[in-house]
Amino acid sequence: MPRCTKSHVQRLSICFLTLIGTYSGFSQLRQPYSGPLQLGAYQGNANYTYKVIEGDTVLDGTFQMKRSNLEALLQKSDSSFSISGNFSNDYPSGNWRFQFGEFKSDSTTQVVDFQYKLNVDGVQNEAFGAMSQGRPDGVWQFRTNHIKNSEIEQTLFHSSIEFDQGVPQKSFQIQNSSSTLVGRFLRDGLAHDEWTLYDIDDLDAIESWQFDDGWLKTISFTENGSATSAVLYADTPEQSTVITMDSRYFQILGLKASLNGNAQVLEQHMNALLKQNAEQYEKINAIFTELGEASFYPDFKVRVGHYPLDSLAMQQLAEIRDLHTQSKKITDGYLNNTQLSILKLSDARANYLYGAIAAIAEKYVQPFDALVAYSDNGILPLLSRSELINSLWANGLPNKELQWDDATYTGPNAAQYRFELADMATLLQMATYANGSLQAIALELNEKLIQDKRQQEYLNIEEQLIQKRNALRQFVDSVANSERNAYGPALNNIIVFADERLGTYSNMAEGSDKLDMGRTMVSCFDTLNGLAKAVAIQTERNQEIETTYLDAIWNPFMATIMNEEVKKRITNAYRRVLLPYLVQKTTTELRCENAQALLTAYDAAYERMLQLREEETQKLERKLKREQDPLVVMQLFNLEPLGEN
Amino acid sequence: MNANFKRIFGLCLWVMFWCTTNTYGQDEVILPSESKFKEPKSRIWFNTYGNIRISKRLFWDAQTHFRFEETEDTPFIGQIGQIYNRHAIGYIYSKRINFSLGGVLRINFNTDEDSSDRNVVPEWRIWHQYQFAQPLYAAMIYHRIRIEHRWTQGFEENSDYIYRNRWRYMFRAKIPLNNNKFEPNTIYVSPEAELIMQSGKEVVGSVMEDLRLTTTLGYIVTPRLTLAGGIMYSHGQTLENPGEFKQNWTVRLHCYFSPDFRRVRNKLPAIHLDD
Repeated sequence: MPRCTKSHVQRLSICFLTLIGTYSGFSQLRQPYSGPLQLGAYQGNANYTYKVIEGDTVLDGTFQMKRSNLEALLQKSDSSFSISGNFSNDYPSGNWRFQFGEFKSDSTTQVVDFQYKLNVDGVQNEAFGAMSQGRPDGVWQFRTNHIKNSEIEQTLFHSSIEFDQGVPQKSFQIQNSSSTLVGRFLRDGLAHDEWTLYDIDDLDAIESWQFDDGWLKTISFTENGSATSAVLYADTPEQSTVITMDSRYFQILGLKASLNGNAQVLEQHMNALLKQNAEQYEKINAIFTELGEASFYPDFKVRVGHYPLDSLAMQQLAEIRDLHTQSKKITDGYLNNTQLSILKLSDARANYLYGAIAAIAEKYVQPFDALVAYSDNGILPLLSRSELINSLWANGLPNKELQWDDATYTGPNAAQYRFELADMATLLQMATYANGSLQAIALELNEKLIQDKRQQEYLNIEEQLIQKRNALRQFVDSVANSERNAYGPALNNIIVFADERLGTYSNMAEGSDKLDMGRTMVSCFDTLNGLAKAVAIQTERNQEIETTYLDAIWNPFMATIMNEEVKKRITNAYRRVLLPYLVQKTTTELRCENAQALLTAYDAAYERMLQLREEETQKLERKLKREQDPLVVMQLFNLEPLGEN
Repeated sequence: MNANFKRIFGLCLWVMFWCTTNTYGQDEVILPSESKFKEPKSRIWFNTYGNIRISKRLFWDAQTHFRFEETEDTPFIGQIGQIYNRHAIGYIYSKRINFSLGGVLRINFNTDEDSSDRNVVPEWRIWHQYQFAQPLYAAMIYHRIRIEHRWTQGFEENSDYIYRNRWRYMFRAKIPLNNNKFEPNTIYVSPEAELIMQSGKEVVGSVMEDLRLTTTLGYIVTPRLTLAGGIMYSHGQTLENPGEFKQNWTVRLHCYFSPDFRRVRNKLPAIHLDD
């Protein structure tokens, strides 16, 4: 039996601490998940295991996700997929396999042993290979097969690339239905040697890219039976950098090729096939990125020239971008301005300025658009300044004096600007010049447009005024004689008043006051038209009120039924006090300021009269006794006062 | 059968003869050889007619008349003749037909300037009336049957009441003059004829008490107020002697009023009674 010594105790506590440590390690044990999962565009059922570390879910262990829908397949078509692989601490690792299918079925079934078999047609995409620490490792294969009657009919796409920790190795092969590309890499993934594209049928080389340590030296291809070649990087630039063969690279190649007059080189098959391959990788990369840490792309490396922007150039670029944004706003605004489009037809100066804007837009603003796009895409440091300027202005830098049709335009302070050197400072000068010119043109055009707008508004207002005044005259003339007898003076005064206002308006000098008055008068004339109608209809309304206030009474002495006017105090107050007051106001005190109130009063009084017939009015009738003040009557009738006396 | 009829007819004639001779026998009235028409009297009547609605179908018929007649010095309005209070409850059968039943208290003043008898005596009546109206173009025509049971007495001290029945039929038209229908502000002309017959033990021969021929002009102020005035000629047998006829020229001024104090709510259905 061992003795319990101090060293024993120490050992035991170490054991105990170790146990605690192990126990806490258990909390990082994998937990299974089984259920629905959404991965970008893919929705299906997933089975995977994960760990929770510091509150984060970390995928670890096997991962499976799939979906297929028999019902959808039978009805129309089914998009099925199946993903399986492994994660290690959130990094994809081990073997992975992806399958995506777009299938249709003719619903023909077959029973084989104990299974129903269903024929499908469609396209299946498949990708499989191994991953290590989130990067492709080993051979990755992509296949796109056309499926007919549940069998592969044709391979539409196939790529096979070997990776070492994400770096492409040795040789690779990419194939589509018409051609096969074979190429190779250096150990560091740089494209090297000849990449050749063969026709799939006769195995003739149809396109060949000659790389040397990542530099694309030449592209040779056969076009319509004749061999053509384009030299791209004949001399290697002083400074260079390694980039991935992605859209940036193809854009740089495109610019270089078109500067050399060989724009067609990139319209060939190689480029398309490489892009197709990159798209396939991107599809899988999107899924990996959703799930955990991964960078899954065919990291083909190439060399390009490097022309970094120093801090001054960066600052100048920023200024160019600002100026360009302003300039673009001006050109877009004026070139799409409908008012200007119309004005330039009648105004020669406006037409000239419009032409100047269009010329500036073409010579300056559009090239700067491309510059901004290069800057956004990050290819600016990958182009030499002369390449850049030549690609923006294929016909050389624009003149300060712009020419179009038979006109010329020179911006303000043109002499100050010097467009000579192919550098960022020159670009900034150009942007400043373009912007200054546009500002000057905008200033002048704006004044013209405002003036034109004001003229338009005058015309519009005056047209409306005349039309409304004529409508008023026509209406008053059309009102029957009987109505004119009772309310003729009031109706006539509405016209007299309208004509007076028109006279005052036409004698005013043009200015903002006149425009304001015109605007007010348009609505005033509307009101006057309304008022004339209210006055003209008054005879009819009086009759209606009279009829409304009749009560049928049986007269026992006559043995007949007679109409008796009821609530006479109310009808008298209306007929003898209120209405004459309104008519008198209309006839002698009509103004734009009280026309609406008068119109409202006519209408409201009439409406109120119809209501009062039904209401309990004993109190009101008592108060109305011998009341001769129209304001009191209006108040008793609960009508809004006219607002002034 | 024929013999039977003759016997009954004969009996009736005998009774009539007996009655007549009996009366004559009592009062010794001598019939003139031809009718005698007294000098016409001139009179003026101020009549108010109230028709006060008390329910959907009932009304209170309230009439008060002040009747004046000439004196030797003053024509028409020389002295008060009668004050007349006629009241009834009326029943509205329809817009055009109504019935009334009520009483009358008439104060009769002694207008005989030479008489030394009582100045005032009351007269009592029970009356019922059946009135029918019908439209005729713009005009209206009316038929009125009024039956009165009448108790009167003479001015002599302690004279007894005598009982008579009156049988009255009036035909009246009302023709609007300034309108094609009756409504406020309408003037109308109203010709009327009324025959008043009477019967009773005391009535011997004088069965035609009065025949009244009137023309009136009226003005409808409101459906509830009408004013009218006219001139009436009347004559009839005196009770004392069937051979003698009294005659009158009477100016009649009328005020017709028909207030309705019911609440508005209750009034409404009464406008149209049956249509």
